[in-house]
Amino acid sequence: MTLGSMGFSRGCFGQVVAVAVVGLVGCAAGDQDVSDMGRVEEHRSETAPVGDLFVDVTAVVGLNFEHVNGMSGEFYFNEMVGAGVALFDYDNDNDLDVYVVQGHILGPDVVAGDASLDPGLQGPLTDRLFRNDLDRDGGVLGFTDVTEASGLDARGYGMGVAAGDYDNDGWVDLYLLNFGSNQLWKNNGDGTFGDVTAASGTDDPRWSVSASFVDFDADGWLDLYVGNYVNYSIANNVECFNNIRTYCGPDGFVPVPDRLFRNRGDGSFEDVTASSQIGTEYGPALGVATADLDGNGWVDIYVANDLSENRSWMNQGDGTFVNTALFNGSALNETGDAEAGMGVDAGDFDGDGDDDLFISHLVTQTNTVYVNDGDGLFQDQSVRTGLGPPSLPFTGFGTAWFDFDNDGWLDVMVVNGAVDLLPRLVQARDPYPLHQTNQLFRNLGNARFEDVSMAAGASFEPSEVSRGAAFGDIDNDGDIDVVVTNNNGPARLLLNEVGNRNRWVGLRLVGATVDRDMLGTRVAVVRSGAPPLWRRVRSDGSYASANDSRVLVGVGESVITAVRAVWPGGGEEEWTDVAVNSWSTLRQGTGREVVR
Amino acid sequence: MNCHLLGRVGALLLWFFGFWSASCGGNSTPASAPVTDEAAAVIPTVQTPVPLPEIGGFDAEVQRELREGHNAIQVAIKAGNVTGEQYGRLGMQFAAYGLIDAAEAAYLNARRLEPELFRWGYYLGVLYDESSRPEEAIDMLESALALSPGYVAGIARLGDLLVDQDRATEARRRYADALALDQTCHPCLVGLGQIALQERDFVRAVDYLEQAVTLAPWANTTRYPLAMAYRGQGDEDAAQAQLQARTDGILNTGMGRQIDRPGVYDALLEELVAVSTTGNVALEARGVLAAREGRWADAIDDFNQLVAADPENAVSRNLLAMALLTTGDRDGAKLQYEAAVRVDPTHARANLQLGILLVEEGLETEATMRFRQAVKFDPGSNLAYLNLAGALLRSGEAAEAVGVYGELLQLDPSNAPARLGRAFALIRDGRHGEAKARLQEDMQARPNELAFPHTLVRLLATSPEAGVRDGRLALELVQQVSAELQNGEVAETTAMVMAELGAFDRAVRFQELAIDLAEQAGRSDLSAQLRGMLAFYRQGQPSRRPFRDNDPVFFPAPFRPPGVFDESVP
Repeated sequence: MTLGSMGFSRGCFGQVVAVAVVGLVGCAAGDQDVSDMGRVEEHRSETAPVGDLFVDVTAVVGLNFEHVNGMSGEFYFNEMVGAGVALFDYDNDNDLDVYVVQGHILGPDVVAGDASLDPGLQGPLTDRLFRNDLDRDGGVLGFTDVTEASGLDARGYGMGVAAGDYDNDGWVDLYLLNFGSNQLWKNNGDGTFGDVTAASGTDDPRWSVSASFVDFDADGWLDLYVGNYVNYSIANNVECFNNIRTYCGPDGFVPVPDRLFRNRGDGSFEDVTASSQIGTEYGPALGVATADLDGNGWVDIYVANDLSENRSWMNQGDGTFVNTALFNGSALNETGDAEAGMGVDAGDFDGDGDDDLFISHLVTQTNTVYVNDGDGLFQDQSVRTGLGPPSLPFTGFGTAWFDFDNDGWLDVMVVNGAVDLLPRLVQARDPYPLHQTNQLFRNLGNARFEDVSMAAGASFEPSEVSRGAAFGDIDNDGDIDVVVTNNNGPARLLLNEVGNRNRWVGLRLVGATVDRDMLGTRVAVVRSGAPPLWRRVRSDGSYASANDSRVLVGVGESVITAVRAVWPGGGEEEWTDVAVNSWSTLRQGTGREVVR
Repeated sequence: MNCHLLGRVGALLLWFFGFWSASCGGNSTPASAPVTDEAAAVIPTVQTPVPLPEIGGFDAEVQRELREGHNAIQVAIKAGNVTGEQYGRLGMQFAAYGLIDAAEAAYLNARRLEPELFRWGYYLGVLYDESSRPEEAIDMLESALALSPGYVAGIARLGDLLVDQDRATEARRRYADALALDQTCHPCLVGLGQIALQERDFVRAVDYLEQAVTLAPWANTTRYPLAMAYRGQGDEDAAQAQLQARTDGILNTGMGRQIDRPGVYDALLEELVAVSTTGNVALEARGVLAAREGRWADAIDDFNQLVAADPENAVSRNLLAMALLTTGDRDGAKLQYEAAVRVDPTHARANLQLGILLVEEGLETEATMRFRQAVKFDPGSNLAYLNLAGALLRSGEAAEAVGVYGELLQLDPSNAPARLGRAFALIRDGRHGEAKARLQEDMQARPNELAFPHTLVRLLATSPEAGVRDGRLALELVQQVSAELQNGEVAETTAMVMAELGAFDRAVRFQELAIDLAEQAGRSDLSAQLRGMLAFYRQGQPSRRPFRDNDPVFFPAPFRPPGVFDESVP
């Protein structure tokens, strides 16, 4: 049985995935006419799409993964924190493969990576790599577990994953964040990976959760920011109670410093945590997003900390950073409270050309929207946007600004799961009483959002302990799908059912001489009669996860006149022949230079 | 009664610690009132069953208490004389232990049987609020307040809920009502400031929030929105001043974040809190909360009871020790730490703190042993490394101290005390070239710390190794240091540089200045040592010793940061 026969083929899905390559024209002749200069009004997203917005196709596509947190009744802190997921194209066949992070059994005498502690659920407890066979199966989405063949043998207690081509060889590499030593896996370009942690100098023995590949010095090589959490070990585990025994929070433990590794360009990294000033202030980091928040041309690093001030590391352009979060208004919420930052993303939700911040938080705290005024000064607008109030009963983790309905306005999804035992579930004798449902919010185009979770379909009904979420066009059909990972539960693939009802532009931005996604590039889709839509090339954000590094821009009914790219380190180019409803590759140096 | 309170943002904490009241000043428990039509309309008429919830995970004593309460209701039901008060009290018991559904059912019955009473509706509203059911909480509080419209704590809570639901107009009206009854309603002023901020009415936001800060200057949390309001007005200096005041005012109790948000006196919530006193878990939670509110006598009392109930519990003893140490009872704290490490030798924090106390008694060998234990059982603790390395340095084990500082710097590359300690340890160990190289790195890593260039100057000016000395660079650096800092040590350092450059007359003048400053400070011992070096300068001889052997830099004090246990500081 194929997905097509099950009704998953829709819109231009078949045509797009059949070619499954970038740089081709769109599937509908009329849609690709970029010279169409018909009357265009600024789109107001007043009508919600009908029908299921997302469909859970996990079972039928072979993405069989069950996370094991190793819980033993001892309430070890780390067991409810992981784990994440990455969407990346490891075999360069133009579709997104999936890497899922795994845990293992925990205990005072357990050695990380001890395979003998396999609980017998699904073979060796290691992270898993699933190859997307979209190109092999005639456009039918399906996955094959290629972990063993890939050589990836990640048996640490996994937390998160970051994806980026650190050695500029055109093959995306992986950095794995663990409760314990981290690992850098080099993609050998032949379907296998090699552990280069030691040679690269990127290990960090502390508890790490999220990371970002970011070219902070604009030298053409991806550097690495590693977000570290707290000084916790199984040995210093303490008992915490909320009337009954439950998990501890970060308050009882000391935060540990994050790390910044500068890529030397020779396969090794220099630890510049100290010289960059990143190490001078730190909190319990859970989420990391990078973006040029103040518009000075240098990518900044934003760190969401758990029950501690967030850090907004503003890039000074000289290898150093200054944390301005308190003054710039993104450290604390509007009442001055440090919230439990988990997932984070930066994106231009209000269409004013700068990146705003969204951070998911603990139950009883709102998720928080920090609106950027264009100069890197933020204001908490969580209540006004309508994103705050519905989040109060939930503990949010993975999240992203993403335009699920391709109407040109960035929406928000938050995957939820508590960290403290939920009383009602305890009463119901639930074996793992942390589970909650996930949420989807639609941008109404007027700086407000509506909660469309209930209308999103059956895929939003399961109550699970969700943690990671990675966003990307997994079936190459022109809308953004989501892989959700659940703590002590299954990974789930939610296919977007509605996005490609609107028009879209799919972009992969690569370097002049290397086929590397140019993370940090800002992209503007220029529209006739409407403000440009600004997006950025990124794989970071969310929680412990790595997103599709391509850029998919929903454009609704807008007429597109050009696409502009502002490359890391400066330089702006424009293309006027980018097809609509298709994936295109824009190579640095091939567009018309824009002089400002 | 201490006025530090949990705000609504601390809702989860309310669950954690039981319902601690918002308290300050004011009004007492509201009296009964006639049931209005509005209130009566939402009161259910059918009795809700209240089964005993799952309580297997609670302390045995708590289980017994809950069972007894529940049994009493069953007996009364059978006898046909159950009262609203009985249901309500049972609801309070359930609520105090986080048994939401059972509490809700009991409160609903209490409210049905005693519809004229404010408290059951109020408790329901609180229950809904704290369990993140804001719309139900708003409805219930509005209904309850119809019975007791003057209950300021309830009005303020309702205002906060309305703000969070983007119902600013209603919230504003509620806050105004509350302020008319009680001008010291701090959460009302903060709430009004919050609304003004949301509306970008920064002038009004400053007005409200300044009133709030004036009312409770110790409530540093409020300074942040005030800073944002000033920033919105374009007054960056005022914004920065508020941020600085906030930073300076933050205290760490060693038991989690300090609670510094004032509320309104809430007699009903106080009653609720008083319910959850059974069992060690409640006792610990109550003690920790008291500590976070600065009520140390209460905390000590609770922790003493906890230790008495379970003397073999190292965690309890550690908590008691922390509270005792904070209040200055050093001997009492030491006894508890000793007991803690006796019952649990792996208790890293108790080992660490005991080590610090032993250093203060001059028992370096014993202290070093404790610090080694602390590092062993908590290898991620900055404080453990810093204290172990410091103890080694004081004992003359400089080489080992270098290694321990290095281990910490592997984990925390920017750690300034570790970087400085490593430099002193290297100098003490005679490894001047290595010390020079590290100090140059340190200056890059911590450019705002004068201690690094200052230490490097001394090396450059006085090292016996010719390859290390660099008088010109030393002069350049000491000028930078003295531009920021002028004291006897800098004067002495400047004299060293001048001597190295052959400017002995000037070296003499600076050394004399250092001697004067030492004498003014009553440091005759130091003055005498400085005079010894003065004689050398007068003879045209430079110094070849960066620090005297007894210089305090080689004898660092035990590292105990402010806030007793704030390990995040170094």
